Amino acid sequence: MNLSLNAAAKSVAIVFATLLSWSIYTPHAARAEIKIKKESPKVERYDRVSFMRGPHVMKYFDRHEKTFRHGAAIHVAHGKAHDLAQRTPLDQREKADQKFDREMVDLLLNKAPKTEVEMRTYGPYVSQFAWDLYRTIDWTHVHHDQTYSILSEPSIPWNKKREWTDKAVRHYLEKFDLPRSPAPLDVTMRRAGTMMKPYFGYFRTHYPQSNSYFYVAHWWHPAIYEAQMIGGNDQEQEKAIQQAEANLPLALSMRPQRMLLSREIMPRYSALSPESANIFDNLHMLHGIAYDILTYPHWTPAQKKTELDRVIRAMSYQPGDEKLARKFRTPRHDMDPRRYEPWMISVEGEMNRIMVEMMNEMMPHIMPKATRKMKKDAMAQLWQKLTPGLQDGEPPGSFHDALLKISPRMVMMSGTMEPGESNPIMMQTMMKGWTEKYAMLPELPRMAMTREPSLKSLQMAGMVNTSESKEAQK
Amino acid sequence: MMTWQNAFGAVVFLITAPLFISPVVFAHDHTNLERGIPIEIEDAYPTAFENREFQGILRTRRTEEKNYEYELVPILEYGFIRNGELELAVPVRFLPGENNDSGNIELEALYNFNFEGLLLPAFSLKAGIEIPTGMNATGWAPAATLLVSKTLSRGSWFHALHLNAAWLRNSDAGIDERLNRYRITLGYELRLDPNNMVLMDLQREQQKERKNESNLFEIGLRHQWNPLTVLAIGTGVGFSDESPDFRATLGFQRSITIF
Repeated sequence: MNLSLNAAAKSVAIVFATLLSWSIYTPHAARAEIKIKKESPKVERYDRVSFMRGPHVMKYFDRHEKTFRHGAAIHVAHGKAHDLAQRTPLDQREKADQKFDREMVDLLLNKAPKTEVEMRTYGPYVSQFAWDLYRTIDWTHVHHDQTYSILSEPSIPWNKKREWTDKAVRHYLEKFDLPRSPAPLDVTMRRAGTMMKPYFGYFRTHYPQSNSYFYVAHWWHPAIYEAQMIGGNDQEQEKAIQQAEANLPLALSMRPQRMLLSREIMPRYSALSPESANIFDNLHMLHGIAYDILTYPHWTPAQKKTELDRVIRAMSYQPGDEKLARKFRTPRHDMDPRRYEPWMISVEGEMNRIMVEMMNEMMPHIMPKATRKMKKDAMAQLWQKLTPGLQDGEPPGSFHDALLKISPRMVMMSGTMEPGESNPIMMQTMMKGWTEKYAMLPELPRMAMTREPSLKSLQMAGMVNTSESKEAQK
Repeated sequence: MMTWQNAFGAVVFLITAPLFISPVVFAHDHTNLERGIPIEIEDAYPTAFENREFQGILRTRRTEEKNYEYELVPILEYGFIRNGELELAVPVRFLPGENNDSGNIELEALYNFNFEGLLLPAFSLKAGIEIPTGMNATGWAPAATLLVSKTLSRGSWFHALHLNAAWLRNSDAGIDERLNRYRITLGYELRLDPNNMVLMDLQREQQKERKNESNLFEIGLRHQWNPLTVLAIGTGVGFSDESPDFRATLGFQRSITIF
């Protein structure tokens, strides 16, 4: 009897332990079938929502006005780039690219506005056929402002920052019908499935200067969050932000060659709120895809709207996304946001790792009989397309066209290149690939916010101070 | 001697005055044009869902009799449903004469039907009622307005046209007063830079008194003073016999964050 009780206890313990480990290491695999609501309303609703109230409101402006203004200048550029991409004739792109970049750098460094602009006031033409894109962007910019403000507000104690940030994330997700997903970009990019679309890489190729301006912007935004994270609530926050800001001219002169992700430039904030960090990555990627679509010269505004609506919905919140929020790694969890380093400039990094992974997942299906050389050539083409500007030996046009030259018998489902259409088999293949690689990845641990950080303790822990950093950069 | 209507106006002013100086407000409604801030034209877009906003208008006008009239209008606005807003205003008037209607409560609801397309403008309907709580006020005055907005931009220079067509009813019209009348306003909006908007409009309105019509041309500037405050200044001139000679307006808008 004792023996059987022991056996029963062991069985219960085994079952309990299995369930516990399952819950800890739950793969949270993507659903077997991906169904993105296909919707492209002909008449759009205005549908704007107000910000979350609390003690933090506008603290970011009050405390860091210069930094706030830099963000506002970047958002002017974002709005303006829509009409630039849509309205510039093919033969004037090079000149327009340089002019836009020159003007936006001047605005950022010398004339940064004190007003957060709405996209439509600087990209009014596109607003008239892609309003859902604009209100999605504006709403996520409001989330940016709210979360900067929560970290800026000293009356919110350090150990309450997560609670308030989580509240801001809930407000962002629940009040709006098209919020960006809190799932990592690895997931949403596979859902969006844009790599084989005819517009893929168009903005990067035809507007290399403007494109890299936004790569600087996507370094700057997370660098400011991370400066707040290492500065804490006291005056060290100002100091850390000023030191991070001091790198802006350097970043503009030596620009990143890829979109930097939150996990790379703000690992601590990503650990504080992976949902919020992923929302920003998903917004920044949406910016890039939207510019690609608008630059593509062979679709009408109505077709572009259809495709934008598809991408907006594919990268928006889907039930269950929150369970995937912490499924990523932070490659440099102790990086110093006050330093602008060579690894930030390289074309190789997290963003392009995702793109290469997706290509590897797709290749067996679209090029089943490809030789080793063809695969190597295809990958070389991908790297060329991922690098801003037209590279030596890179055929102009889409990545799909480039692949057709390498593998004329490439297999594609008919119609999937068309606006608003997606390739569900390919999306599911890629999601399966992600599940195999990352579903068992331990979730990113939450940042302990029990003790307020200090810059001194960071230096003692081995992080280099800014003067040393400048020496290193020289 | 203070009448109860004046006392009511004073109470409304005292209740809302602290909001003028409250630091816990945020104006993110810079592009959303409101009637009277600083000129009559209003766009077809409501305030954001769940936004609570306080607005203030201080207006003076010189009549054809060369008298100056002053008006202070505190307004509370609330995005009570998606694409819809409610407005509560209590204009307090300081006229040389009897200050008729000063302290009337004006309640309005606006609903927007769509965001504009490349050809299709944005449309909204606004319904309102003026409740005769003010000085010497008699009848209820319902009103309905169609608001139309269309962006003209074909590049990144933001400019737009707006049309407001209002029907106004005077339920207690005297023998020499109109029972129904109209007010048409055509306006133009132009962004100068991120912080400044220029507005212009042309308004034709049938007055309460029969055979009287007024025509007014206005120009104004909306300036985002800082993220907390939108300030507006405007002026107008009349160009027919019954129109005001001149009018000037100061206005502001702030979103309330204390509740």
